[in-house]
Amino acid sequence: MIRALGFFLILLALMQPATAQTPPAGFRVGIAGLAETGCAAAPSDAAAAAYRKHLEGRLGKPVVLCGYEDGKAVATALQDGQLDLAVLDQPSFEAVSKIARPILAPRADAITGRVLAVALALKSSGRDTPAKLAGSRPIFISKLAASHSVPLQGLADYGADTKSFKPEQFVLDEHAGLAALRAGQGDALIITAGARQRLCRGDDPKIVLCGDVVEAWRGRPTAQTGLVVRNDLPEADRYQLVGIHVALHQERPEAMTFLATKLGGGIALDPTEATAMQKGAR
Amino acid sequence: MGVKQVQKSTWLKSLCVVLFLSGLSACGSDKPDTELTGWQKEVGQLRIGASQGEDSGMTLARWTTYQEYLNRITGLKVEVFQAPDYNGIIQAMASGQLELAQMGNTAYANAREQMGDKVTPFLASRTAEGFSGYYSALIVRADSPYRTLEDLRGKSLGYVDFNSTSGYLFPRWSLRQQGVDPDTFFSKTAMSGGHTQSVLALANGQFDAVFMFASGGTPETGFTSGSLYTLARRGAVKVSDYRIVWTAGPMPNSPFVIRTDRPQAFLDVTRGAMAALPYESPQLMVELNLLEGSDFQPVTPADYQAGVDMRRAEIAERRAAPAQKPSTGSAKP
Repeated sequence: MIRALGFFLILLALMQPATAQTPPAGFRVGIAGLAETGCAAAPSDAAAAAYRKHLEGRLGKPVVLCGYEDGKAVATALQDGQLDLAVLDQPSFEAVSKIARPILAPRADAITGRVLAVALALKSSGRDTPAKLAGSRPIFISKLAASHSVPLQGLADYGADTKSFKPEQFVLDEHAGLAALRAGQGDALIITAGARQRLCRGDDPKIVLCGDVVEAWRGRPTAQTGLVVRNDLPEADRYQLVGIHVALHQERPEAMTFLATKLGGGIALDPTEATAMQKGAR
Repeated sequence: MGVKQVQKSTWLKSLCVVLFLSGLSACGSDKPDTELTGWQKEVGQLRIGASQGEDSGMTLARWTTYQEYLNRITGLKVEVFQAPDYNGIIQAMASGQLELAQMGNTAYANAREQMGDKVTPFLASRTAEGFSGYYSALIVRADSPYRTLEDLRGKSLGYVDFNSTSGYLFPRWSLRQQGVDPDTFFSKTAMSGGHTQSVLALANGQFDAVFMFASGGTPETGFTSGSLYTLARRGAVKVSDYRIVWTAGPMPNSPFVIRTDRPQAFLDVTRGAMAALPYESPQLMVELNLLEGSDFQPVTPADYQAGVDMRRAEIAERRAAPAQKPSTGSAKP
């Protein structure tokens, strides 16, 4: 009887890994669309292997890449604690937004990131929210993406009806833009936060340079994809991941190229704020 | 913090630096925290070197912001040591008594020549518009007849300082690249002692032209930052009273430089923390005297190699013909 019980317990122990699906040890990165599903310490794809090896060397512990069919499955695995880092698109992120946050997002090109921008309107106009900017005649200071398309995308993400913005006009600089706004030649001056600071900061705090305008919006566009971690990841570990990945394009270009294919493009990775992938929630 | 407190604090810090550079540990900065483990225990503390520059109070306030932020994230005791110039920072870093500092291109070139791979530039600022460099601009008074570089042949010129990248080293190197020998092209040259002093000396007619730092734009778009623009915002000068006749650049922005012989995890955490700051705590960027929306991008020694090469060339030039070099210690040509 005792021998039979012992045999049964041994059998049970042998069965345990198959039924409980114990996550692999080490640092686990979840990515949709890998060549293989499941977690592998030796991905067949050379670029994926380069990324895994680079991350392992920098973290000083084993790293596995875990392949999933789609972003939803990656998010579920992150939710279940089976992943430490996940490559997610914005819709998939929504499912884990309560327990996770993005830490990095792809940068489109050398001069275009997720630019912090503002939309300024005259206080007297009553246009003090993105929604109230509907039908505005926007004023821009450049056709560069950082001063035009990126802020427009940000405004749209925050609920502004940017399709109703017309006609667009472009002026020499932020000073000319404010003059045009004050002259009634436009309804919203859309510029980077840096340009607003140059425009309104002055050097004498007693002189108010922009007292007649209001920031109807300030923000960055929503990150459409990103590298996501659980909120309970220790802070130093989170920043270590940021520090490793922001230089990935310089230190291991093929690894960056690999991640870019999973992130929908990008030449490098920029850090993000915690709410970067929460559309309209900021 | 009031002015007096800043002055007292700066004085104490200066004393601290003197002791620090003398090899004494009177500042209590090198006692490791016994509760630390792993890479944190190995590093023990994070010592930052800050050059006082022209405004020690502002420098101290800026670095105090970094100090508090990095202490929270790394868990390390973070101390800021001020020195009157880059040389003090470089010497302290060379002797292993600092982990981190921000310095200009020329100072970094000096540090690299002294320490080799033991230091590396690892982050530099970038504006929201993606600009990550600055320029050297040769300016003249708008009411002068000078409109091109050639017009200034045989005229007087004000440099900023021997150790200034945009006010001395880089424009001289760029002129030579164009076939212009700066030591014979101008009739008289002198050091103004600072970027602000250069503009004021030009305004007062002491020079026909001066070099100055310019950023926040390009030669095509025009500039928004630099001593001329700062003085104009203060009402001391009008930008329209001056004309840019020649520019050199861009040069990469002043790098944060870190000792590489510290644990890799420390380097990565520090870089990650600083790179994330503009996104997670954008309000601190104003305290750091950086434009809103700016961020920090990773940089490598290759980004600053031109500065190292320029410095070597300049030193070789000085050794070759010391008698022809600009006078020092006076802003008067």
